[in-house]
Amino acid sequence: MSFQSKSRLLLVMLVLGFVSACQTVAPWEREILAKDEMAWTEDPLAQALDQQVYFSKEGASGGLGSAGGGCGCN
Amino acid sequence: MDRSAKREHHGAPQDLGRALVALTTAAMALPAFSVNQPTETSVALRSSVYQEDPIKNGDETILFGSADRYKIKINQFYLERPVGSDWALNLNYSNEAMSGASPWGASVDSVGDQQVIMSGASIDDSRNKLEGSLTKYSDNAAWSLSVGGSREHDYRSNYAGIRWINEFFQKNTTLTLDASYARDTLNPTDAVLYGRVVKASKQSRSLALSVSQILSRKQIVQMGYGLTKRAGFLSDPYKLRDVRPDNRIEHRLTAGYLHYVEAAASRVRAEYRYYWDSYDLEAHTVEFSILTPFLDRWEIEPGIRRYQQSSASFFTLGDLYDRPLSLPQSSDFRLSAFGALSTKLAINYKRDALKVGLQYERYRSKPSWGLSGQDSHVALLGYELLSLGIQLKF
Amino acid sequence: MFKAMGSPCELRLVGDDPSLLQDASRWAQDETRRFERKYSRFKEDSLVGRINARAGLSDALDLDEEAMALFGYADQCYRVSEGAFDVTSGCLRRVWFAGRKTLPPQEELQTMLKLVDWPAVEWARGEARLPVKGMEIDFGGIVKEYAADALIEGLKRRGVTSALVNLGGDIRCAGEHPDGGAWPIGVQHPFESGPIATLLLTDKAIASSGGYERYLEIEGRRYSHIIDPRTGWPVDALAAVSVVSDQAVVSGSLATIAIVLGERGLEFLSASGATWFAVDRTGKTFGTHI
Repeated sequence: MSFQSKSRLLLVMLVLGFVSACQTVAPWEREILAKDEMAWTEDPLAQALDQQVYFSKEGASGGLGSAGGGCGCN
Repeated sequence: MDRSAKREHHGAPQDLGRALVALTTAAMALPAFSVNQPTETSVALRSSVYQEDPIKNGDETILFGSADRYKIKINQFYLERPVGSDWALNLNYSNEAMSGASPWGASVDSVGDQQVIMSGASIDDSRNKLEGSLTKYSDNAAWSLSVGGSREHDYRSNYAGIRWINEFFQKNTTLTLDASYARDTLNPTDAVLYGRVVKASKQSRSLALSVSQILSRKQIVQMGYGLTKRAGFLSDPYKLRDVRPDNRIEHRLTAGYLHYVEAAASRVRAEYRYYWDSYDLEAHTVEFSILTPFLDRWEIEPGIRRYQQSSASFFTLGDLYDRPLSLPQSSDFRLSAFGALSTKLAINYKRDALKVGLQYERYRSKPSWGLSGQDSHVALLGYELLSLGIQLKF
Repeated sequence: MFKAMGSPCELRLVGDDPSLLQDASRWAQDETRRFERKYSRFKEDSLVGRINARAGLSDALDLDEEAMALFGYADQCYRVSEGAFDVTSGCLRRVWFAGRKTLPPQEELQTMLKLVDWPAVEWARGEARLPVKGMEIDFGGIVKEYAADALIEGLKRRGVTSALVNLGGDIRCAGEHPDGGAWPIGVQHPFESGPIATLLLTDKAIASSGGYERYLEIEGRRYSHIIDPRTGWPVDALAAVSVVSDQAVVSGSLATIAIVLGERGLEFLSASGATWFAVDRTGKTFGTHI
């Protein structure tokens, strides 16, 4: 399978899995979800460090979000 | 219902420490509390250092220049502070000091093996970056404005961004929209001496959309797409022969998953990113980590990251001096096909409002792990990183 | 000062703009009365009154977002306390009524305890129903404290950032005292009049459970007005508990749970992470030190 169709398949599987797995969790049942380690950005400095280091070593860049923070490493 | 069983239960509740957190979380569901403004001030500091591996087999693979590569020290500072009842202020500062040599160019000999030309003297440089943002919170949404800049002696970047967050379905679904713009100016050192461009600029515009969805009491999933357009001088002025198209369009598809395993009080994290751009570069990134407690206040988090990319359409293993300068060309290893594997380990200590973490990472790359072709670039990187971070909330 | 929710209430607003303060004050009093109209079990046409009147019948009442959140909060309290906090325990007041002169026989208690059963209450689907006739919901232990929180949050949104709200002893403060600095709050002594301690609070809430004012005197002994939903008997070991946290509603629930748990309540409070203060029946004091 080529990469294009492999990744499309992955995407479809993810979306389907996603849609079928949803339950609505009421706000008062969220003690686990409220934990620090269940946040997407638990440690903003560690995440910024990773992004900066990988960006200067690899061709691909960014997670999502800002275009900025450029460095002299074209 | 079996009443007798209930009445016999006179003991103290298990897991007492959860009481305050459980009730506070439940209380947050009440309408009066529905704004998401952070309730405390957070301050974080981090100090990191990493050393790139020297070029392998330097005698054979280096035409001239130093085999020792970059050693980089990074210090970071972060502050987040609630302001009034609806706002929050964020400040982010980092300083990066680098010294060492980097590849200037490459050539391929008659047998097809690559040799690199490294910068001779050690390059000493430092970069300072400062960013601030202001966020306004309302019941199910938030708006954020951020502004920042970074400075090196030969490079300047200024940028601004807007973010919009909206929550739906009792805050089970979160939509985030980001738009940002950056303008960079380049003034390479010794430009006239080495025939480099004297001054150049580039602009970047980005748009990103992501959706975070709660799947259950212990699982969250996230998906996103981002687009970035860059225009201007995109080549590397320090390389002997490097000409890149003055336009680059980048796409990213990301997916993330968080799962809490109650029995082990541990959290599993998985992330995937698919990147592709107009340089014909494609990359897959997969990250996986498990955070698990041990002893009383300690946590350990082993992680792994696998990265693979294809080469850019104009990548050449050796610099081609007879190729016209109007055609894109580059022997930069970052545009070659390669793959990288990173193994990381973090150990944290948590006590009340304080968290201290030490991280170690070993990064290795190989051409054979790449997506296409066998470029065998000599300057492919490996490094070891050590980082110490402190977070405080009050 | 005004009267609402069956207790004396006090509102102190601090600021420079008299008309702003007046509007805010009027809003606060109206909002307090809204809570009373909606959640008082004494009013037949309140949400709670109507739910209680239909106990045992098959029709259910619609719950809005606020009511759902309160039911959800009551549910968390039940779970966290493993039954020591139960909003259906109000019916035990019919056994331990004011003016009672003799101890109730065990059968009377057993019969009434059958009606104390939070897990049996149907509410999770957005409609509330009490399955057995005679069951009742009493949000008295939650709504008064939540109202204090709602008032402070609402006042902040209306531009009043320094205020003190005291609804029958459940207090929440924000910003600075008019003389500058923190708000001094006195914690009542359970046996004597006058405070046992004075705390200085900024942006915190304090709620108490117990106290000397309400009790039953039967055959020469004093019995607390707080009944343990699991046994049907009044609590004994602790005379008063006060808890400080960021929300009045959380402070109130922790205080009530602790006093029902009795001696185990002290362990519960130390592990909870909140700042607290307790007095047992001998007058001995315990707590975190501020």
